[in-house]
Amino acid sequence: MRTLAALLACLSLLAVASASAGDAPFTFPSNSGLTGLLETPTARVMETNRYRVGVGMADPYRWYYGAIGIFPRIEAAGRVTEVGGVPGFSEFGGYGDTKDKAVDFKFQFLREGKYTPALALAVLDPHGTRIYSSQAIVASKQIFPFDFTLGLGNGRLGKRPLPSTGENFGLEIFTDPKEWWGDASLFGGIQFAPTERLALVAEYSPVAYHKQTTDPARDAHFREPVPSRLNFGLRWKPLRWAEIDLSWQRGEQFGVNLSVAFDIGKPILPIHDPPYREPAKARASPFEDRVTEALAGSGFRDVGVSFDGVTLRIEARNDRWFFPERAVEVILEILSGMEPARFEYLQIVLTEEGIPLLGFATTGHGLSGYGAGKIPGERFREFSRFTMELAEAPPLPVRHRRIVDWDLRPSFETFLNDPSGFFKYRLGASGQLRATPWRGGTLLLGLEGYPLNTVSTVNVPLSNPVRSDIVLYKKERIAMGRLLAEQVVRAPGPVFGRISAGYLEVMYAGVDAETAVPLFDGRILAGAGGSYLRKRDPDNPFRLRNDREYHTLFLNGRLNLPELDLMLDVKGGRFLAGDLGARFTVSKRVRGVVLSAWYSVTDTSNFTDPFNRGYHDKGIAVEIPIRLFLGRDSRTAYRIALSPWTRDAGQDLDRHRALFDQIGPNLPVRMPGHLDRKDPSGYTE
Amino acid sequence: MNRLLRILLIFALPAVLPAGAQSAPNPVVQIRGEISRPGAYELRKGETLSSLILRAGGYADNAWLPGAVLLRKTERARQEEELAGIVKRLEAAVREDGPWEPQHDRMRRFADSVRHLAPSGRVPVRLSLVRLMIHSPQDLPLEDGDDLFLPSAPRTVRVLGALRDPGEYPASPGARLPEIVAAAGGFLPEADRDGTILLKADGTAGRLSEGWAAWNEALGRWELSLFRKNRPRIEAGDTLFVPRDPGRSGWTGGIEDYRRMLARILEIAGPGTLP
Repeated sequence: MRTLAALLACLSLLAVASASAGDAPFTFPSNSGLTGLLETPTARVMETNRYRVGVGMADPYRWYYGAIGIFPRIEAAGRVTEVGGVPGFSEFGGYGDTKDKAVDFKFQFLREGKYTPALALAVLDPHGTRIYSSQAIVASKQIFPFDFTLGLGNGRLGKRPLPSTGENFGLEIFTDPKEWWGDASLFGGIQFAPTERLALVAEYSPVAYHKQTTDPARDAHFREPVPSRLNFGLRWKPLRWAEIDLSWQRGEQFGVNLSVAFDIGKPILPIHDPPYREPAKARASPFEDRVTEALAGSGFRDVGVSFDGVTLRIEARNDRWFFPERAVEVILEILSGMEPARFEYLQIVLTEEGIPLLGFATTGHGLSGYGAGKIPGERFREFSRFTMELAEAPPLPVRHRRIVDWDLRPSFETFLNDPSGFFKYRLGASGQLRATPWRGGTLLLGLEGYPLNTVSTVNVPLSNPVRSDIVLYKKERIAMGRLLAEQVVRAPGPVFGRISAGYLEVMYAGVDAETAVPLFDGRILAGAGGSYLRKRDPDNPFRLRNDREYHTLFLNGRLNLPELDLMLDVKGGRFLAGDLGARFTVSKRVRGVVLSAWYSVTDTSNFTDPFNRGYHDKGIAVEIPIRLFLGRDSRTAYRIALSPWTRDAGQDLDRHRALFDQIGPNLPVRMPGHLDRKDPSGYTE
Repeated sequence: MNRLLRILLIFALPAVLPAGAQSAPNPVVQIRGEISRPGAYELRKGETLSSLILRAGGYADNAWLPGAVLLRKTERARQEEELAGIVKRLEAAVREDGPWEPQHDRMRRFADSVRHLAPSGRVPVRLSLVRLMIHSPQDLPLEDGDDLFLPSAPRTVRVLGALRDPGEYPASPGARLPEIVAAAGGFLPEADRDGTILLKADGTAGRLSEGWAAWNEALGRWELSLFRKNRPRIEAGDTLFVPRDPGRSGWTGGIEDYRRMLARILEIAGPGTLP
């Protein structure tokens, strides 16, 4: 069996050299969301940067799922499996039927070749209770319009179910290949897709329902073997992004699966920002005034322009353009339409609350050629430079200053898996009123209102509650989320610093401070931070509870890998409950959308309850730019996080803004290798 | 004195200047066939297909746009190099065969004939209504010496190669290979039936018959021919070429590579050039 492990490793290496993909059109969802037949996976994977969400049903099971093609040849899926007729908590009727959360992964380690099939490793439900867990090696070969699949899997797809691993992951295929081989069963099927919109599927599923002793459905529904291991289905895509699957499963049940799939980051409305047109009468004004008005008319604030006959210096706060590189391009386009030959050198500095974040330098002649279309974007980029190392120069007097600013956005938060009800939520709006009276200084008031709020719990706060009592705060319909003063400073280097004081988030008030240093053009961000906090009184927005003080202390690091659109974060130190350890976060950027997943490893020995002991905080988050829905550019983004609220290990302050996230988008290492006058998301008009 | 200077400038100066310093003739492009004002036109800066067609008064009523032929000197030079590479590969295959192989003489003769082919210099173009072409990728910039020919609509399909009665045959809509081969008297015994090449009127060539399944390189998958998208259609103005079976040759890339090479030769040299 060691040979098998070695073989798998070799095949993984082969994947690096393999060529083109041939998965389309057989990237249909299985019952539980991962690309597959009905109950079993295929070796096919979703297109990169595409996601789907859906709901499936084949009595007694109901699946609520989401899947994503996050890297080439890698697919991840998350699902909730509900078993009808089996109450989740007998003492709480509101929860309904029992539910199990699981994540699935698939890695296509060999792409389909002319004479070789696609080969994939599918890892289903590897963590926690592992009720529906399996690890499978699967091969698919296409002779369009047919797709043939044959696989071998253990656990749910094998001879016996896999045991729970608690807070750990179980991967028998690697840790005990002999056991995996002994437990594995064959599965497979054929799909027939005469058109891109229609497919038929026939599957042999090895799932022995009556032997799945860990599955709550077994005792209620599957005491005897199911009538058939053959499943049949019809898939229909009425639209490119919508799919309806009808099936006959186990020889006894109709199944339905409804799903929608979209490209990540593709705007619902095409983004179109008309270029600035200078009024004829403005052309008689001095050059600096013309530039200032043009920038203000294009969505910049706090605009400062100086021209000494040789160098044109521009400082501007980007209030509109989601991508800083696009903001720079907008300025270049404005100048191209004026008189770029008038100046020899150009320096642009993008600021935030007066703090310089990103610099850009080029020559007037280069800009003339670029603006006239004589120099391509990549050539122009060669004699231009993005930098954070800005020469110390006195700040320019600014015009079109914006001191007070506000935003209001809809807000939707979920509270999942409480015993009193699986799906609880609050829907409303959150607003912020900001004032920036001096350079780097911010006064912020955040208010939240949730007219629709079903958040409640029957859980009691745990032994050392730093988050497990959050429902006391989240159940309020109106809350003052934040009221704080913040100062950001920039020192030569550059070194950034921030200190915030006040009501820092809905649960905590106090002082929070951090520093950040970009290294190697921002390839690495290093920093440290800490906070001294008291809990707020949930019944009075201004009062603090006197029972306890909390403090955190962290060393922070971020590795930027723009080549892969990846960010790797490590936060190590003392978390809110006093547990020492680290949180690891992986973030993937796709056309402005940021998908994150985190996992914490902390020493939980200071907890006395069994829920926190040995627990690893984990979760996923997605940050969605609002520009995808507006048809125009905007800097605003929503962040939605899914993470258990009922644990206290690995918790930190919910900051209004962290320095890494403020500096991050402006790092030179993240700037493109060429300027092409297109929206960096790839979708623009 | 002024008059003398002017005479000197006009007549004597070009004679004493080196050849490169003399002013080159103005660049010219030619447009022929079904066009309102055919002829040679001085090439203007930034001239494209659409602007030339507009200057020439637009298409004539009979112009058949899919068959438009653009010939270019620089493309001809590039094709010459490509053809030379093909000849080298053919010669290598002949050497590997050895004179004792039965197909040796045939391959050698084939290599000789390819060596003497003249490349056409044809650049694939896709013309449409001029207003639709402007600023589109199809609106190619023109070069000095370009020659654009617009034929009138054809009514026949040309059939060449290993057939009993090659020639031109009427093309009915949806015509299939067996019908046209039957009209041409059927395949000769030595015909490579699976290797039949369809040279489209736009100058692109590809295999017509691909058996029951074929590998689609672009999509990275095998496809049953019955379900293939964009299956080639035989239309008026197209040329069908049935090659002879190369037999067991030393062609390193195998029979499929050999067939692809034939298709490429047809694209470079045009129909009627292969033996």
